[in-house]
Formats: sequence, structure tokens, C-alpha cells
Amino acid sequence: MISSLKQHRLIAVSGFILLTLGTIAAAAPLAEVLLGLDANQVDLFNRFAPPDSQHILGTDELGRDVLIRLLYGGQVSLLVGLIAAVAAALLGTTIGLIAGYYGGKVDAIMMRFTDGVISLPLLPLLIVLAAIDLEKLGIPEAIANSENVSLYRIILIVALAGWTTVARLVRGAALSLRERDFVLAAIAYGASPFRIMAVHILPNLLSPIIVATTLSVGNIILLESVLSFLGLGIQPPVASWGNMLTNAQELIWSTPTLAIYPGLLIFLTVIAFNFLGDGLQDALDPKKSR
Amino acid sequence: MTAPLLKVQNISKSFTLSGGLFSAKQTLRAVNQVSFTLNKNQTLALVGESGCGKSTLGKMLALLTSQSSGTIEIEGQKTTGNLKPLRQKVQMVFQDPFSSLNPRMKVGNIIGEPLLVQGKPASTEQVKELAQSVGLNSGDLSRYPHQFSGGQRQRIAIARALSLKPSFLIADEPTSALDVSIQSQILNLMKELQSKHQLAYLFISHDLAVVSHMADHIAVMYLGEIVEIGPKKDVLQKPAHPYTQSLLAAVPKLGKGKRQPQTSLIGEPPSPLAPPLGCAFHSRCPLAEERCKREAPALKPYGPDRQVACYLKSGGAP
Amino acid sequence: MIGYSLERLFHSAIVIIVMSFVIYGLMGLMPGDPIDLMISADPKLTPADAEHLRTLYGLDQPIFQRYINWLGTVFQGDLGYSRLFAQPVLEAIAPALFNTVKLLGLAIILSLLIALPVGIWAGSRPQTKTDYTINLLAFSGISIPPFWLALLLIIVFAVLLPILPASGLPTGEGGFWETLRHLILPVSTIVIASIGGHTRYMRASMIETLRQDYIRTAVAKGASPRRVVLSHALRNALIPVVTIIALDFGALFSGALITETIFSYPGMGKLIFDSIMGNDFNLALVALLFATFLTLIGNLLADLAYAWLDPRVSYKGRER
Repeated sequence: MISSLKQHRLIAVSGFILLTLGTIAAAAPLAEVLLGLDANQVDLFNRFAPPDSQHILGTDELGRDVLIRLLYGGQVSLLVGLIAAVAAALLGTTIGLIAGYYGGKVDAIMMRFTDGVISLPLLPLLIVLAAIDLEKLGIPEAIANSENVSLYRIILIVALAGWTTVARLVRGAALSLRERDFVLAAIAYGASPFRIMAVHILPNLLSPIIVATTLSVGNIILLESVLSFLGLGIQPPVASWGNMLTNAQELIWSTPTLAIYPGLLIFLTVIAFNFLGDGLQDALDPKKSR
Repeated sequence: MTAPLLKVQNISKSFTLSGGLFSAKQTLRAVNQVSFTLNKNQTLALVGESGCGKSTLGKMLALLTSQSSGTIEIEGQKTTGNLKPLRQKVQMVFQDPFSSLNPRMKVGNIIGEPLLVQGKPASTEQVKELAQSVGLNSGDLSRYPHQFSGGQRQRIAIARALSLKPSFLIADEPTSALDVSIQSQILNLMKELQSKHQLAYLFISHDLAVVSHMADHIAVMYLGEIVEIGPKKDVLQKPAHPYTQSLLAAVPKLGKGKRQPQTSLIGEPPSPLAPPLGCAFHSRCPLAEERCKREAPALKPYGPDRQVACYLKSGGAP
Repeated sequence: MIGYSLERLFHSAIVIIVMSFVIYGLMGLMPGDPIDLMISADPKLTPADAEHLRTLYGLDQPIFQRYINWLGTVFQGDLGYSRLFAQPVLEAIAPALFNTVKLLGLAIILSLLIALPVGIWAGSRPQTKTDYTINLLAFSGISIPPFWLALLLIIVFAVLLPILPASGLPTGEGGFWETLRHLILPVSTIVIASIGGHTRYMRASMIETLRQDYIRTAVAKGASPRRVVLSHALRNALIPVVTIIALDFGALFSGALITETIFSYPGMGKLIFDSIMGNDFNLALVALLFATFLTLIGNLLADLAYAWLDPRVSYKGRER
């Protein structure tokens, strides 16, 4: 009982932190208006300004307001993280569901593939993917170099890295569900494999999917921030917490404070998602309820 | 003469336990050369210890798994090609009503789904009627399975099985997961539905009391084979096969004192991965002879409408 | 067991073959083109010369043919020449590999030395204050962005109280202690980043093991809690941890890439990053394959160790 109360408190606290972060990030334009600032306004006469009433966290190396950029960066990081996590969950669910439902050879091949992906040194390979020249894939230059493409590309790349957790969890659960008698009954009255997966297995997998997705959001946000930090993710002038740290690294000897805030926010977001996932896992797993 | 409702000829099922690319394969013989027929409005009870292959046989007949060899004919139709139309004739009721109903579906949808899947969506009226025919209220239809007791869940499962108006129902230990007080209600419901719809039942059980209540005929299985089959009275009162005799002797009876020692079963049944040569039962048979260890006896007629696979009973006596 | 080993070996071989093709293909999609680079290096080359070079290097052939040709040269022992390092690829990789092994070896030993006892300690008293505190710390370790952690360590130990160097290798002849001093921050980064995960695996495995019936039997027999944990549960709890930790090689390598890049530590991670960024295709290709190969070997050994420690494993999946 005590532990379940603690779990619920954990879910509530981490959920609250995430909602607050999301709300504040979403309110970035409002903050701009209130403070009379513009996120991309370069002010070379006001570089590295210390915090004051207008620039609450000071300014960066181009005289841009740090707080506003943190808020906009938060929008990007959270959005990329969530969208990529959902994409990863869809991919992972599809793969896990098919592997788990069909079992046998299909399962063996798909899970070997998943294990193969898990065992790879992912970051170097993702760096290659992020560095690929899209024009060589036959994508027109105008599209390949547009700002949005870097956003879609990073979402795709981190989703490619993040689906395995969901796939394994879903597969395991589907494997045991397909042995349940209600699935056999559905086969006996002639339901198609698609119907069985969609109507009988998937709805019973919602809790593991939610847990795995929540747990992978943290990793995905971390991955996005690493790639952006290395200059391969979200491209400036669009701010993300990761790419804000790129410049901060060079300025670490003169203005170390610039390196503190973005990292702290990534840390806070990731730990909140991890706690949320952990709490949900315990709350939704009947085995662990004692 | 019309074809029997169900005609099973020499069906076998073996599973390959493959260890993968570089490991030896093993074959598990779950069901071996089983034949019988079943007519409408009749109940054949399938009896045997756990692991004897009776559930696998049930699954083959419910078209949930295909036989390795042999043929199944349902109302004269072979079970090959597109099974979907044929599935309407055979339905199954499972042992565990807590596993056989999708926890995320409302009862009304559960009962109506078979018709929907078969392309003739059920009207609310139809579903209500089905529910009432198994003793459920129409108010129950909008509730979820977890709100019901085991017995009520089994009623839901029966209603679902009947929705397609099958001619043949396989019931795999339908009452063994239920409280004893509920068991008889479900059994009586099944009997009532049988006479109402002229249903044929394949009733899988290890509970001889339940079997004697439900069955017209009894087939006794041992290690994947039918060792004795015949009318209920004959099999229960004058068991011919030594295995049947030991099964019956193992049932505790009121006021009968001690069991007869020579017929009680010793040890475990042999592994179906390595079935013994000769008669499958010889390793545990108190009456086994030299011959039983070498050759397997075939199922041979033994009196009217009855067959036994034992040298001592059929082939042994001229 | 032999069948199982062969099977795993076979699967690893398939993965490495597939990956070598994938990586080779990806390299072809990198920005820039070896011939363009030659042209920019030597403006006297005419378009006709470029075309001639293209044919000479076989770049006009389909990708699969080029891959097969490349494999052929690799099996002759020719891994190509690194543009960035101006030396054969293998000679560029060897010292980097040594540096990474040194860095990761030190980090993983330290991490396990701390994480395993702590995980056992927390796992044998779940739901207590100690356990919650350890869990919270472990979660923090998992959730901290490793590159930010590296920056923080530099800020604290190199900028604010300048007691440690911010780069990973001493310039010139450092001597043993100087080398070690330079390793402190990079190793700490990897240790802090991986210790949380290791602790949580150990803790979870311990909790799971302590739930088993044979542990209850031991408790019921009157064995002391200490004895139950150390002589009954520990061995069985360690088995899954061995695998999970070895399966983390890939993730560990990703951590090394970040750490090495930030601390300018000349290891495999930095080499891969620099070669990709510097359009050094030969080097990037071989280095990536090397990293993949080593991770797969690590996983393979982990699997085999697991099967050896836990005889049930090689029969798993065979039960149905």
C-alpha cells in the first residue's frame, strides 16, 4: 500500500513537472511580448549581459536573450522527443505485434533483426545517417536544405533508434496473449489475423505500450540533444537545448553559466519522463502490485 | 445412409521441437491415428490423463491447428482450403472462462463478434436472444467480462459459441475451472441447449462423474491414442482395456472400502517424445505380456458398437 | 551448448555482413565525393580526367559491385588510406583503439566496482529509505545528458577550481601519473553515465532473485539475511546482470564517442566522428565496421557466458 502510494506520488510529481515545462515552453511567444524581446534578435552591443530585469537569465554570445531561447529550445526538444517517441512506438508496436502474433520463423527473424539493431553502436551510425547528403537520395536541393527537413530528419533518426524497447515489450506481451483462449476462440469463429491483432491483442497491450513509450521519450530526448550538440540535429538559428550547448562549450572558459541552463532542463525533462515511466510500469503491472 | 456429422479418420498430430539451425530436432507425437464418428444430438466424451493429447485432438477438430495426417470430415466436407465457412459448423468452449473472453470487449460485442466476422452482423435483438438462451440478462450486454463470475463467464462463452448456430460443439473441460455448485448448472444448460439445437458435443474431461452425466459415448485416450471407445454404460460398467479399468478404479467411491490394488496406476505416463515400443500402455499395465512390448495392438471391435486396443480383449481371444 | 554457440556465431556473422554492406552504402551517400575532393585538391584536373578517375576507381559501377570489389581488397589486407591522418587506415585506427580500450576498460571496471555492491545493497532491502535514495541517484545518472555532464565536470574541475586538465591526453611525454590525471575527467564522465544503469540492473535482479521460492526456503530454514543474500541469491542474481552489462557495449561506445569528442581524447569515438565530419570515407568505413564488429563480439561473448552460467538458456525458445 505504502509503495503504491509512493508510486502514485511519483507519477503525479513527474507529470506535474513535465506539464509545467511544456506549458512554460509553449508560452514562449507570450514571454517575448511581455519582456519586449525577440528570440532571434542579435544585439552585438549587449553580449554576455548579466541577468537583469529584462534579460532574466542574461544574454548569449550574440546578445540574444537566454531565457527566451531556452523556452523556444524547449518547444523544439519536447516536440521532437514526443513526436519521435510516438513514431518509434508505432514502428515498435507494429514489429512487436507481428512478431509476437505469428511467432515461429517470423518472430525469430524479426527479433534477430531487433537484437541486431540493439547490439549496434548506435550513436556513430546515427551520426552517419544525420550526415547523409539527401540530394544523393534523389531529393531535390530546395527541399533537402530547407529548415523543416532537418527537423523531420532528426525525428526520423531518433525514432529509428528508439523503437526497439517498444518492439520487445509488445512482442513479449503479444506472444503470451496469442495463447489466450479468447484469441483461439476468435480464430475458431474465423476472425482474420488483422482483426485478431487489432481487436483482440492490441487493446490488451495498451499498458505496456504506454509504459515503454514513456520510458523511451527520455532516451529519445537525450539522443536528439546529443546529435544537436554535435551539430547534426536541429540547426541554428532554430534553438534546441542540445544546440545551445554547442556554443556554450566553446565559451566554457569565459561564460560557464551558458552551459548550465540547457543541460539542466534536458536533465529535468529526461528524469521526469523516466520516473513517470517507472511509476506507470509499477502502477499498471499487476505482478508488481505487491 | 447420410454422412455422419463428424467423421475422423486416422488423424495424427506431431510437433517438431526444433532447437534451431545447428541442433537436433525432436518429434513429439501428441495424437496418433485417431478415428471415430459422431452424429448429431450425441455427446462423445474424451477421457484421459493430462498430456494424453485430448486437448490437441479438440483443437484439431475446432480447426485451430491442422492435423499432420488423416482426414476430418464435417457434414461430409473435408477440412481443407478455405476454412471460414466451415468454421460456422464447429465452435469451441474453453476450459478457463477467465482467459476465453477478451477483457477489453463488452459482453454484447463478444457474443456478436462471430456473426460480424462471418459477414452477417447481429442485430441487438439477436444478441439479446442469444444472451437469454444461456440465462443472461440483456442488461449484462453492456458490461465487461471482469464484472462477472466464472459461471456467468462460461455462459457468455457458450452464447458466443452458439451465435453461429454450429452443429458441433467442442467443450474442453468446460466446468473444471468452476466451483462445484456452479458446474451442474453449466452442464444442465449444455444438455438443454443440446436437445434444443440438436447439437453434437465432443466433451473433453478427466472427471468421470461429469462424463457419466453428459456422455452418450466415451473414448479413452492414452498417450495420443484411443485405447477404448464405446457406449457410456459399457465402458463405465464393464471397462475392457486395462487402462480404463485403472482409471475407473482410481475414482474414489463412497462405501466401497479399499481400491483394488492390481488395477491402480503406477508411475507416470511415458514421455510422448519417446513413446515405448509396442502397446503404449505396456510399461504401466499390470497384465502386460511379452507380445505387448513388441507390437502395438490395433483398435478392434469388441462387442456391438465398441472397440478396444488390447491383445487380451480382442486380438488375443479368437 | 555447442549447437547454441554455433548458432549465435552464425547470427553475428550475418549481422556483420549486413552491416558492412549498409555502412558501405551509407558512406556513398555522404556529402562530397572522393573525385570531387581530388579535383579541389588539384585544380589542373579536367572533367575528362575526373571521368577517367571515376572509371579507374570503379565509381561508375553499381553499388553492389563496388561493395564486392571493396570486400575483395579488404580480404587482401588492404583497408585503404586515410586522408585525414595521411597514413594507412589500420595505422590510424590501432592507437585510437588502444586509447578507447584503456578509457572504457577503466570506466567499466570502476563503474561495476561501485554499482554492483550498491545494487546488491539496495536490492536486498527494497522499499526502504536507502533503496529510494539509491534509486533516485541511479535515475539521475541515467537521465543526465553525458555531454552536459562532461561540460559540468570541466566547469567545476578545470575552470572554477583548476585542479584537473580539460583534455584527455597529456601533450608530449606525460608519464604515468600525468596520463592518469588526464584520464580522471573522461573516465568519471563515463562512470557517472553508466553507473546508474548498472546499479538498477543489479538491484532489479537482486529483488527478482530474492522473490524466488528457494530463497524463501533458505529464510525459513533460518539462514541469516546476510547469508541468504551472499551465498544463496548473489550468484543467481549476477547471471542476468552479466548479459545486460555486456549488451550495453554499444551504448558504452556511444558514450565514449561523446566523451572523447568533448575531451579531445584520441580514441575510436573521436576518430569516427572526425572522419565522418572530415569526409574521410575510407577511415570512417573501417572504423565504423570495427566498432560494430567489436560490439557484436562483446554481445556474443555475453550470450555465451550467459548460456554457460545458466544452462536453461540454450534450451529456451525450444520449449514450444
